Amino acid sequence: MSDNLVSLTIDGIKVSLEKGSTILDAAQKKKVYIPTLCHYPELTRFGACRLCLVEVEGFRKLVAACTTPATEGMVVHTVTPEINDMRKTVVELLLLHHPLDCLTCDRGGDCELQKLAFTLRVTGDRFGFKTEEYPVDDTNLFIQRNFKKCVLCGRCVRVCDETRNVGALGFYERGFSTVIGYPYNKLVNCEYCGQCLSVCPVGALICKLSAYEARPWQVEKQRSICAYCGCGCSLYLEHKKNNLVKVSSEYGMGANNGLLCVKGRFGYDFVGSEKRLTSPLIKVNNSFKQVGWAQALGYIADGFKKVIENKGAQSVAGAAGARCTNEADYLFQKFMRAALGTNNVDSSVRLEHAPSISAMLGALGVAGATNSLAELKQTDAILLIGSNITASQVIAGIYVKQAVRQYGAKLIVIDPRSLEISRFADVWLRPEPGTDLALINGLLHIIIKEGLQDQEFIDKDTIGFADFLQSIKEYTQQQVEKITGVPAGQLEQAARLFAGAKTGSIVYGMGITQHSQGTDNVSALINLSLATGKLGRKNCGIYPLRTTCNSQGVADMGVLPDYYPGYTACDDMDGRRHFARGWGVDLPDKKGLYLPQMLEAAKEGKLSAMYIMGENLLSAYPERKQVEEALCALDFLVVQDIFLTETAKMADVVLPAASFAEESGTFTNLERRVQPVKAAISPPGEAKPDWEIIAGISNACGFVMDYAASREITEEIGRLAPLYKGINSEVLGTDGVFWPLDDNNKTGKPYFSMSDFYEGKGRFTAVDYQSEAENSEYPFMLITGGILFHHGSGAMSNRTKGLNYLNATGYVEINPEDADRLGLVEGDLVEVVSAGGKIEVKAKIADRYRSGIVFVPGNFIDLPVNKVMQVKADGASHMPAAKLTPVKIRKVT
Amino acid sequence: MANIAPKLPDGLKKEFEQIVAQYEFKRGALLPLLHKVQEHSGYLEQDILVGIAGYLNIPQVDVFEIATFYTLFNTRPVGNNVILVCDSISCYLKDEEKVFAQIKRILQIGSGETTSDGKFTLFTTSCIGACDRAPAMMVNDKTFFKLTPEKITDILKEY
Repeated sequence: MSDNLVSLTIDGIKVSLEKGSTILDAAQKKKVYIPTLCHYPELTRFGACRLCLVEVEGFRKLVAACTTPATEGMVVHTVTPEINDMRKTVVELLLLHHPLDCLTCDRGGDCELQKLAFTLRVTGDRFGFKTEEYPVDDTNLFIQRNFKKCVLCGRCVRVCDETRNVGALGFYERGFSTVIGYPYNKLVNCEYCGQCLSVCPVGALICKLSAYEARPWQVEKQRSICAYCGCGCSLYLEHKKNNLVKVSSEYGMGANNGLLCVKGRFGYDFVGSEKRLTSPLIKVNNSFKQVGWAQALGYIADGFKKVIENKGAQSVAGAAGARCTNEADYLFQKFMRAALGTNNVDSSVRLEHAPSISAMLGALGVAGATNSLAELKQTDAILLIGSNITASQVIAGIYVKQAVRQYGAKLIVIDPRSLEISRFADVWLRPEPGTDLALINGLLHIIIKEGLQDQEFIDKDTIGFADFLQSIKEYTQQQVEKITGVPAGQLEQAARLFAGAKTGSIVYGMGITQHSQGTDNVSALINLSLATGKLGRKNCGIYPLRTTCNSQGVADMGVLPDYYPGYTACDDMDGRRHFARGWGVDLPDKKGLYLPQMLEAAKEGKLSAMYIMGENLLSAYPERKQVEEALCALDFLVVQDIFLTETAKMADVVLPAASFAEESGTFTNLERRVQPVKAAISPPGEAKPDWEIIAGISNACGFVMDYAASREITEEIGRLAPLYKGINSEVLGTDGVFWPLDDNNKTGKPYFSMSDFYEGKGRFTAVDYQSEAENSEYPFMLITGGILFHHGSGAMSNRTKGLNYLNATGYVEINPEDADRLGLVEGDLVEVVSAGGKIEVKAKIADRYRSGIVFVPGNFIDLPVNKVMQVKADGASHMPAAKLTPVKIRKVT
Repeated sequence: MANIAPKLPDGLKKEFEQIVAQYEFKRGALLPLLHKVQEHSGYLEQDILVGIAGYLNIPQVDVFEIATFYTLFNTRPVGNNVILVCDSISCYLKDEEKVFAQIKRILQIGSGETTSDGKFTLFTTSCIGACDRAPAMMVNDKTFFKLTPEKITDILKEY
């Protein structure tokens, strides 16, 4: 028997398990039932409710199974008359407070206390003792707390503190007066994630949005994937009579381990919005007319045909958003390439992580996070740069926080903003906006100067070190301090911390990519991984934080003008032949137009028709005017979406699509995990899943697409796209798989080894920082980005009741010093003016930013910040650099 | 969110720094800081608790939990003298209720209330470790033992 094991007997059953386990662990392993209430997996052992009391031979009294360690030779009894009496009494005492209104309680039928009372046959009136009356706590907009029903198990307090690392809830007072609540009834840190709701065993916490909608036994639960950010959280869509009534999750589920954020849990009701598109629309004399599918599809086929006949296949283009399934994305590019004969197909990835794709493909030969999200927890040092991770990719943010607080990782945060995550940082560097490249090169300079690099790794596993060394020579501490404003001492501290750690990962967001040197920024981060040997093994990786549920997938599926599915270059002869054979048609040999080029071409009259799927380009594209002019110049525009977005309003034909809750297929999350998406309800009216619509158009155009279900498309992808080889609905199971699969590995690769990279090597890229001229006319630097309560350009999140309760309008955040200088107070209307345009918006005074920086969230349809933004493309990836715009601020009087 | 300029009591900054310096982890200083504040202002003002949370870089809720758990901390303004009468089991069995009733009668206040002249505030408390000499109570830092309603009259006269 191994030293690490203990064996004991529970109710006559022998159990062996790891040392350090509890009696409860042992019982659960053998499925011996011990009732619990305060116990919850992964939370600290609490031992408060006393329901799990068991008898251990040789012990004088009963002990709590959840806190008592299992020891060698223990003999445990879980069922004795004494234990039964004890448990009954515990439940009776709990029922003293608890109103027996199970008939109207929202948790009736799904309540752990109800089940216990039932099992133990306890009614609860033996003591005839009444406790204090408490008013119901309605402080939280989403969650009602009923103190009388609360059993003080503390699960909500612990999950908020230990798992989410938020700390909004606590126990107040003591003894009989103890209640759970917020500090002085103010919601201080609450992120409205609703995790407290999900762990409450009784009806003490009720979701106000879904209360009294349905009894637990009336709903059906469909497991699927969240439609917001790139984390790809597994969730249950609970529905009744074709209506979504609730979103829930379960401990241990999916990439998110059962955690959800405010958007995922409370932002679902856009699905049932009255504003959903329900039938195809054709524009006649500037107004939309409802038509049937047959007419719409015929009209579209004629429209495309006419343009192609007159101006050639290169005069049509397609753009897809990142919210659609892999199956829809795959068919979309297949349609553009095989049916229409053009590579003019691009996606909204161009607006977020195109630089990651070009830099990673260049240096490593793969484009996606090299490691899994869960590994972040076990990483010794994390370098987080250019991301408000706790707002934009909440679950990834939780893993970073857990790494720091629960596992003792060191965290380096590089961001000019004061963010929620900054509180957890060991080192927080605040560079001037736009100087990240100089800063990263500066870190590398220190690492080389102090000999902290991993020379063995560099010699064995990398290429191009010598050239790279030359390129960072000038980035001395003094020089970098001058450019970035970060003190040399802090730079050294960060460099030593990261280089010195056993394992380390780099996590970055759009603060890195949305710059004119976006690709160079990512290359510099890869250099940092390579120089410190922190790549190609477990817990050592690079994570581009994707912003939308299928940002990774839409690129994987080749909705890119230069790549076929699986990043096979369009100008690669063999690759082209492979897809031409697979699709049974000749394919265009020239690469197509990138999204910004499409818009230019449309304005110049070289592009005449566009097909836009699942993207509100007018809001999402950083330069609104550019899109407006381009779309106006088109002869023919087809938009397929779930709402009549601003972009859809400009279309000649609008097609009603299914939302994530109504469509089946797969999403690929930011850790390359391909996960099954399953329709829970049917789409409203005539709306159809995206893939069905594309197939319909293709068939009308004469290129036959014959699929009975999305499953068949998944299989075709698995046959043709090299990265998705072998992936089909069977392999996917419920938790999905990490691409790529190989023959002996059916769950895929959570992390890449060096041998998975192109030729088994990482390539250094010499990159040089280019400073940008300052413009004294526009003294402020406008940063745009996302906030916790909304997502993307707001197309979905702005149309949910819950998220709009929390934050319904945009604002410009200004530093108190600047506000004083401009004579502004909170709520004043100001004008934000750039060389490109202006917006009027209310001022919010906050000290998250240094003087000279202002922030406007890009998440609001009603606040088109892209009227102000100005784009300079990142040369290597054609990414419109959108993060920073010089502006001036004027008070509107 | 990090509170960049937390409100701390004037004149205590230096002492705060000295206290925090004694601990390896900043949060360890919470309890001594609360004692310091109470010593200084008589009670723990809400804004100051918020300030301390920011100062120690811990969630506000952690500070409020601690401040409300211990009956020796006052979270509301109190009179010049604070009376804490133990109502745990030993004292209860030794007629704590009669003692408590006597105090209430003399001072004309109930539990949690302050006399109109601001002289006394009355609370009950859990066990103060004097079971062997029950019933017991504390007035400020001083503990009184083996109380009877008669003794109460004399004790209160001392203040």
